[in-house]
Amino acid sequence: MNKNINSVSARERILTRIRANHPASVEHPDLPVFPIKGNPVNNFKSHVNTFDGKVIDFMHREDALKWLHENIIQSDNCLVFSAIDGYEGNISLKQLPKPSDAHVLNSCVGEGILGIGETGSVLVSPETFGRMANGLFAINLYLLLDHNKIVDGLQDAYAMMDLSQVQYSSLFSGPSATADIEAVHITGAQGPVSFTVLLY
Amino acid sequence: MNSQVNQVKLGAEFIADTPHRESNDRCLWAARMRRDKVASTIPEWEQMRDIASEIKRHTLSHLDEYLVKFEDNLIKKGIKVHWAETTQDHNDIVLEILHSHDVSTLTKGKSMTMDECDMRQYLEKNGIEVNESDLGERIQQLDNQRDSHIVMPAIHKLRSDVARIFADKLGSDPSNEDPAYLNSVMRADMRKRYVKAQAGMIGCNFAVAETGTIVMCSNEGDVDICATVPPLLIVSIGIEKVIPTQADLPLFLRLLSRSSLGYDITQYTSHISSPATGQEIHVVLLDNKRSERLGNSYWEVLKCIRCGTCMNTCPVFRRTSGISYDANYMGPLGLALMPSYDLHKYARLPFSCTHCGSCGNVCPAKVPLPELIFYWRQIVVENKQSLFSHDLEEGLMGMALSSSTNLQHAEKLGLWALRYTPAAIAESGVNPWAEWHRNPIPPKQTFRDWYKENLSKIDKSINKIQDE
Repeated sequence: MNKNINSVSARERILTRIRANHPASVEHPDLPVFPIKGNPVNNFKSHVNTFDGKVIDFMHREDALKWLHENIIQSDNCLVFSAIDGYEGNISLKQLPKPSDAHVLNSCVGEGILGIGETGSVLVSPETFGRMANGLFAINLYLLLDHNKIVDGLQDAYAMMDLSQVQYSSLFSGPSATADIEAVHITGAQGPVSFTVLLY
Repeated sequence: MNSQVNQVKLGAEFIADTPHRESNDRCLWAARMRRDKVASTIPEWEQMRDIASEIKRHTLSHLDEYLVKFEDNLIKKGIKVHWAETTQDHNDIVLEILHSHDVSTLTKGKSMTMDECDMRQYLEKNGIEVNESDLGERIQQLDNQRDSHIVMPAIHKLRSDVARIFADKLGSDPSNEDPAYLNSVMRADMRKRYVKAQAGMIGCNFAVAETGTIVMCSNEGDVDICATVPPLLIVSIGIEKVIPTQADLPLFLRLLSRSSLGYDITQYTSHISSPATGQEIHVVLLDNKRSERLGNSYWEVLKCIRCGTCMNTCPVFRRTSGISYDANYMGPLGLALMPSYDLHKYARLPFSCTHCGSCGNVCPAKVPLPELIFYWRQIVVENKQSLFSHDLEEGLMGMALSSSTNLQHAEKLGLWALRYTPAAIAESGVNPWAEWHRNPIPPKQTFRDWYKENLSKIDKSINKIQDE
């Protein structure tokens, strides 16, 4: 690996040039927390809809679980992975040994870590879906979310996270989408085609 | 001079193609209008732009410290870090990693840094199958054409173009031009490629030094698939992408997608801080003259967060398309950046600007684009890289404006020429104005002469108004 040896010297040369060329020192500015107007739960629902997602309200978590049992079809041709307690899918992580095996999934069910009113985003991690690929390859995504875990804005959300302690995390905001052809908005680009938040 | 990019000529070809020009203009202006609408709902928008600019200025003035901190945090988490001085170094490092893992096929998310290195072409020449996973980027790959926009790579194309390309390359129905159908063709094709990919490659929107976190923003979900499905991940990062802390990140996220496409956030905003079990991650930090730019008067171009809003608003870009710039970075950003890569090749680009100032007004990081474009015009002239005809025009204009007497003579000469130049010459290719405009009817006298003649009447009128 001669290149690794070269990389070390490249590192030094780059850093030396940066140090020689630095502009005059500028202070880091104060960063105020900007308030977000409105009720965060209402804002969240409105933004999820804007991003072509869907929010269904429930009084209790049990009601959301009941809805899942009644509305998600499971069959040999309709594989459902669930990473939540109280709702079983018909395929397990053991049956999906590699991340790429998740391409067979029809639906994936997980529990969101928190929601953001400002953008309609749900914070997820690999644990949310058993593995990130499950939440990315499934055609339909269902995310349970406790309405008490919805914060006002992005700044509030990042104040609650510690990115250094998390291997991977993501803010999911609606189903995957594209507007790359004549700016025509299409949902269901490479990831989920539908995005449903079961809010309790 | 033939090796110079002639944006005017290439742009004229695009302008002549009315359906493409109208579509390009409509799509980009719609993004600009959405940006204005969403920004107007945020009272602190302008304050956020100021703060974003200052955070970037701060970071760039301490770039070595933040890069080292970022690197330290990545290494602590088991991510392997490589430093590349040049694009060739970058590509060699990537190829060696791929060879050491026996990779023959990979999927790649959209990355301006990799495009800057012509990395896909390099890997393909070396026998690696590279599948672009972003729809727009994939269209451009299959059409063997460079991107026309840093966020919407194929926005200059019509749906009929995409239908033709997909029919030729992916076997789809050539008569079906429905974008939803074309997207489904892409989706089905890419699924097969994701499954067999041995490696994933992605770019990075923000590199958080404090936490050692790679942040990616995308809409299609493809970047996350590239980053999490194959066992090997390579991330290319321009060294200017680093930001100091996690607390800085939401400010930039609040600005990025709203500026770019007019939406509150991208569908996926993802953070990688360490490899998953069984995964190996390599980060390649690319310099490619960034460290030199830092020491020049145009260093603030490094504040750019690659949102593309300067392109959406630019009246030249919207009519001529990004293809006409024949460069990795196009539009106002390209004008301000590309001459620093190759002054001779991109010497004409800074003149493809009306100086309306709109790009500077919308830039979320307040990159002073109009000033930088003007700066490069000066450098081009000082280094004798401009066209002879341009120098002649500028020289004559400078002579005419250098004194009142010269200007008076020039006015009279201009009027004489307008009256007596035969139409065969005045309306020929000698006069580029006449290609799209009718020459004005010569007035009886110059404005100066008219003013002198009527000065007493004007004074009387002014006095009368004042008396009333």
